[in-house]
Amino acid sequence: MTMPITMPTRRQLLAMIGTSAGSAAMYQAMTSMGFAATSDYTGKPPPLAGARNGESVVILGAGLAGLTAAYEMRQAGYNVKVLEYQDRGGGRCWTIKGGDRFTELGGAEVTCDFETGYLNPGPWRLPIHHYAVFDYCRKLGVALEPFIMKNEKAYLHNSKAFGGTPQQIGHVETDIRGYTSELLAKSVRQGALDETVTREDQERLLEGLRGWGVLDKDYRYVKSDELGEVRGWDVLPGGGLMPEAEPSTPIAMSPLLQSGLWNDLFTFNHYNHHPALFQPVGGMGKIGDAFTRECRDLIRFNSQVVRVEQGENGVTVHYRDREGGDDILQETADWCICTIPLSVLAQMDIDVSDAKKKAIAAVPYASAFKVALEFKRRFWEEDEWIVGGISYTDLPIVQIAYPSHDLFDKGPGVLQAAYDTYTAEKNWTYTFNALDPEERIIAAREYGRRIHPQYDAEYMSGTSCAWHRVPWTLGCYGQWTEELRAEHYETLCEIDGRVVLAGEHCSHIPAWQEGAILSALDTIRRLDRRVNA
Amino acid sequence: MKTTITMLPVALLLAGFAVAQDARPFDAPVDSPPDLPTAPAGPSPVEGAEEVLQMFSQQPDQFTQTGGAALYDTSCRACHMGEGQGAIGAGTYPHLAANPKLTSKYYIVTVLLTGYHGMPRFGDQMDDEQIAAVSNYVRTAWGNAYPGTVTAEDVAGLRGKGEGAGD
Repeated sequence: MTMPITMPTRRQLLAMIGTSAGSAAMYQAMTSMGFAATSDYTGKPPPLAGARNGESVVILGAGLAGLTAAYEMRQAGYNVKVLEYQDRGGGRCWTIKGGDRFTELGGAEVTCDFETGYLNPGPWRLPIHHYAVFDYCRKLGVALEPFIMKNEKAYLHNSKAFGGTPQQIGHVETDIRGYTSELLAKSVRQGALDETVTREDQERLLEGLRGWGVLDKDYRYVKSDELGEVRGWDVLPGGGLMPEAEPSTPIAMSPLLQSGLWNDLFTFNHYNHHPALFQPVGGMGKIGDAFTRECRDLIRFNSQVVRVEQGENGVTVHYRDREGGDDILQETADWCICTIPLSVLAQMDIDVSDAKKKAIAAVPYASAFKVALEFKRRFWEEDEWIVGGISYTDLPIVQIAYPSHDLFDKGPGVLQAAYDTYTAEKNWTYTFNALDPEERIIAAREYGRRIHPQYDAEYMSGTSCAWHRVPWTLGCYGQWTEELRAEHYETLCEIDGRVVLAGEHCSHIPAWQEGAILSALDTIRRLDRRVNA
Repeated sequence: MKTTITMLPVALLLAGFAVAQDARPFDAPVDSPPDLPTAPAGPSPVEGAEEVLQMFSQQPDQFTQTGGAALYDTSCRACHMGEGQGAIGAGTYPHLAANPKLTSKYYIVTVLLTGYHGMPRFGDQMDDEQIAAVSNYVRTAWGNAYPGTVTAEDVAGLRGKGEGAGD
């Protein structure tokens, strides 16, 4: 393999960090490269001076960015019109339910015949610091319920470790904490830290490690009733004359370290994954539905923009009614907010500066996919007591998420049976996008049955979303790198004459709805200032 | 096994409460699952699984396929489709069948190494041999017959030069 002798790319840098310091450190580095950036949102939409002379705005795209802008600008007195390519609003804030059908690029039809449950093909969980999303849910009356991100009974699975047997997250976590505590205690007691830690601090440290790692009196991490209270039991303490409780046995240290499973624990440290997380009752699409309901009279659906023309006095958007033949229609306005994904916009005739055009064309769109499967019963709950949460695996399905809703239901249940984005830089995301809908389901079933053998007997039907096959996005989200941001981000976000862009691609929170909304709020604040300058 | 552990206390309970008419025996609380699931033995009931799984690379961070067709089918096919016909939605995925841009063998290599517009780059995931193989496949499949052959050396020569320029 030939490696370039130039500066390492971001991916190579991450790979180097990953190889030398483990995936935990790699994810940390990813975080510092902007994947976990949070906002300085103050809890209120920006105060707009408003349209003092009845100024008009045409907004391209009825996703969360476009509809946030529409909602706020109308309230500020602007004359707002939204053009949307699809026959629905909400964009990537979307839920696929039983009875839904859509044709993907390539012509295949994606079907969903679920009797219950749903798939959120895009966003599916709301971290509590995504304040803007929560504010709009409050304002628009979107009911929320807890989303279970971490479940100690869910699995970490390495197909090449423990004979392919998955391990419980809680076991891996308790054991790795126990062993690292034991090793650190050993180092302290052998004097290895005498030069860096004072005698008094050593005593405190040892005391703390004994509790933290559940070590015995000799600072060893071993099976004990005390550990049972932390790690769980083979036989739980019972009542009456039930058998004696039996604590569970730790996984041996060496195979645990070799398995690499504990590296996967870092995902739970991620700020975006801190409990409590939430989800809209009935699917993420409820947020998009609520925005659409509020703005319905402003939106023209089935409108495919083909050209954005601007002059000194205004903007003319040329578009085609997707159900109305080839006639080119026009919408004129004083200003234009364009939220069209860059993957589509890069191919469009738009009057902006060369630098802006270059920025639009510079950002690749990340690959992402999800597969959901419906089963006759909720075997993960009934057989394994996994109620909510996510299992992670080294197989191409990457994760299996257990629903946080309809818990303990008797009827059928839907698993999010495969999901990944190219943020983790695994090439399987491309492969899932290259498969046809039925093939994606086959892959999800075949890999998944290695973790849950019940798949074989309980399978009912499946559905999927491969974001590179989605006609209105041509990919999932703007795949920024540090270098790209340094070169193009400001240019992309700046107002260009009478046109300004917004969307998750114009944010430091790529792929998250908070990014789309914050981008819209910042954009309308700047636009309003320009209007009233 | 779960059954043996649960049966014992049930038996004890039944014995202990034999005289109590309304005794409601219940399973002793055994922490779940006593046995972690193991991969099912025997042939998979998932039809077509073997064929589909072959599409996936053996490594997540580097494609392991070597043939041009296999590499195309596991990555490029997502957008440019099975017959190189591309697709049209709100935007377009270029067709690769009968696409005069492929006349220059260097064009496709550069696009693969650096990405282009919404298309991500593949230079990190494929080595020189693989980039050459998939380039040659695209230039000769579906009736394409563009002259010349891309070699790994061609790719190595372009790598580093053009890389990053597409950013």
